Amino acid sequence: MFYKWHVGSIAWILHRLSGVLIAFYLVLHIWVMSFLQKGPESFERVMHLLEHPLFKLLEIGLLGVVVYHSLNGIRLMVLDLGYGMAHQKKMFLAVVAVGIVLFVLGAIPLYPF
Amino acid sequence: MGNKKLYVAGGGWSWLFQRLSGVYLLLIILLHFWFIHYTGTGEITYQQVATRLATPFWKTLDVSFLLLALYHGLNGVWAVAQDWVKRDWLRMLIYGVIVVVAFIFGVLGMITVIGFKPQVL
Repeated sequence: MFYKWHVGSIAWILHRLSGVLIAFYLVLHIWVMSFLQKGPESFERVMHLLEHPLFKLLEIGLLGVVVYHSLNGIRLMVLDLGYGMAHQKKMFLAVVAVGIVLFVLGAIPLYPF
Repeated sequence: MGNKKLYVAGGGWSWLFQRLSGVYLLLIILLHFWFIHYTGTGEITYQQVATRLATPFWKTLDVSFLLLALYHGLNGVWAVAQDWVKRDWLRMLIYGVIVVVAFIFGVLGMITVIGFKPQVL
């Protein structure tokens, strides 16, 4: 598949890349949570590892990826329903602007330093 | 386009369910992020998760979250593979991996959520 480089195709590629990253995280998350079955000690040990600042920074990155994928997903649905085709550049800029605000608000409580 | 069966997943139903599951996941993920990461101390403990998983409401919500997130995520990966991978054998391999991953992590997640019996701390 070939894309012409314009706002719509960049948004679409970012949507797919963010989706693949989230899918990869999802299976890791299911695996990590399965330590619940092994009892409190095992689970707390894994959670303690994940308290490391590196994982906290990755968690903030994940928040950014999820926020982008969610907001752009709403944009794609609106376009799929036949609205806003003439304004998709503005809609993408709105996704970026709202996304930055939500990301900053969400990242502050997660910031480890 | 050698193998037409490989293109079925990219059809109308797949498109529709991808959108519907996306809307549901958006609502659930807001709840998930809010209650798990933004209320309380910020630390995730066994006791907190055990308390939540003891309620049928959260159990049901988590099962629906698990299944729809796996569906949405893996269906999305399959859509990407359909667009970006041209070799049929590689597509079949990716499809096989997706099915195996869906089964293993679906079962693992269900065991975690449904089969969870809290141990007293």
